[in-house]
Amino acid sequence: MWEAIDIAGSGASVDQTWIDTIGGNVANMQDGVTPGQPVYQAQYVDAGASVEPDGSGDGVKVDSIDVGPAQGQDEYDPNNPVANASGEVEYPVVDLGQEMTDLIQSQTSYQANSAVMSHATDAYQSILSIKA
Amino acid sequence: MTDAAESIGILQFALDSVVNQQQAIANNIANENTPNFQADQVTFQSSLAQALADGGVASSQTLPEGLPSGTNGNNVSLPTEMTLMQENDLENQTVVNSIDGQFAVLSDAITG
Repeated sequence: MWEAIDIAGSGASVDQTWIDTIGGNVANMQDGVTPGQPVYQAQYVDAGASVEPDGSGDGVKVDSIDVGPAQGQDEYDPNNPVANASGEVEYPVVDLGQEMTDLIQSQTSYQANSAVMSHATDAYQSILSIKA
Repeated sequence: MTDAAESIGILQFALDSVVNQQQAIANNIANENTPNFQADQVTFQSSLAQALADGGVASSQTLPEGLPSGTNGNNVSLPTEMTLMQENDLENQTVVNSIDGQFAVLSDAITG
């Protein structure tokens, strides 16, 4: 029952996870560490279609969260307290342009899924209003 | 000549198909960004028209939309899906109104 709403809900939920990872990546992109210390690894959502046993589509799900490189990029910043002896600080690999593009895409997708929910609700309401 | 009960049966098939169609559209939109996802569409209109013309049985079919894929192998077009969803809304209203109409006819016949 109400499959279209469930399907749109699965889409909005994946979009939410996507937006959360983008938030985490952007918030942590300036987390400099002393080279050699563990650095923040960017997170990327790997989504896959959900399919029912009969082959019909059942929305979408997060298959896994992939992580970016464990090795950050070194930048020369001798005044930074975490800089090493040669004045280098290691920053996470996060492509801000890519993150912003993904943010717009995930936002559009979230809006589309929520539009589906309201359309589906209206359609179900009209069916429920049938009376003999 | 079709009687009210027969008409309701046909309309029930149409409503089921419209609901399946709506699910397919919702699924395409939910998978708008899923790598390698291919959009499906549910068609039943021509089969229903054929069945009404020759008295056969109508069926609904799920077919790939077959639009060109983007770089991630996904071929969902959001404008296309939004348009289909709008049409699906109107079809749903049409079928529901027709069912209401048929029930009104039956109700009149029963109460006299």
